[in-house]
Amino acid sequence: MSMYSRRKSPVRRPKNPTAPSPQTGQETESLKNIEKLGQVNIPQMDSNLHCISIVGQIEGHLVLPPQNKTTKYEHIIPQLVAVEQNPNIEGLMIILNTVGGDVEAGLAIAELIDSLSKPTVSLVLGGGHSIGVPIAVGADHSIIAHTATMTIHPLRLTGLVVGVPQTYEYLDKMQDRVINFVTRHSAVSEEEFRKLMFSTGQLARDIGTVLVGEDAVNKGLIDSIGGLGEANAKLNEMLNGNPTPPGGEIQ
Amino acid sequence: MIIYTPLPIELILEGSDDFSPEYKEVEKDGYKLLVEPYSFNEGKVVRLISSNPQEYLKPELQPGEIIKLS
Repeated sequence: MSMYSRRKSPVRRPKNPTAPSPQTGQETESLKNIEKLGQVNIPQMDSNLHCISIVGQIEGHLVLPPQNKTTKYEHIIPQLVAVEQNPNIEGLMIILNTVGGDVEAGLAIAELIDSLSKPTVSLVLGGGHSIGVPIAVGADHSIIAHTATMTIHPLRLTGLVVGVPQTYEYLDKMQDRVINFVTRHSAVSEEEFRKLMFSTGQLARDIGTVLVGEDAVNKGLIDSIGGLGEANAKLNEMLNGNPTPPGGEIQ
Repeated sequence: MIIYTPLPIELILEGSDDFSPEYKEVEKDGYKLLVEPYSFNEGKVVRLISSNPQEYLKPELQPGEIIKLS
């Protein structure tokens, strides 16, 4: 029997009988999808963009109790490094729906997004409050949905009595870090941002301002208003060589 | 540590007194993972311990994924 006829023989013993056939592999994959996402088919395609969502609380050095939905910086940070290095990823979309969180972790993510050499677009949906603001403005271009809100309010140590002048000094320094980052990366002036931060009469339990969609754009905090389509179009425009200065446009 | 958020701090830290997760370090397919035991023979990924940034993009190693232990 020649090699050729042996290969053509209709009955072939599988090399590895325990390995699932491609079909059963697909079936288990669909089952997993139903279990996890409630849907059967997820079309597979390779994207040249990477999407990172920043949701819930941005978790810092303290693990938050499980009722919090958290974004873990120890995972986001290496992901951003991978995005920078991976030649298959050409652009990054950051989707924000966050209530803020740890100042250090938030600023770390914002700085990495800002210093990423590939085009980045941030999209604020729902909310991008407090420490979500520097993350949103850290991208090359920031977009906010019509209905999305951003709360700007002062930093404080809740529950602690500010007893000594040093505590004031410390909090002021921390607050300046946030203000400096935001004013360096958006069109809002420091004076205007502080005014928003300390305005009264908008929040029941706090001082500060809630900016809804267009307000954030009018104040110069966010570059434009839009949604997923606009964010994707902007990224593609940036990828195709249209010049957009990094760090957001100055209007 | 300063938490900068419009949410009341009580809401965020609620239950933190009796929240003491037990994590286990496991090797799975050559990856070193910190997992929280989920059920018998299953664990929830808490974090990946690796110096290769590309591994952090793998969907099966994202925090919250349930993996089979052993």
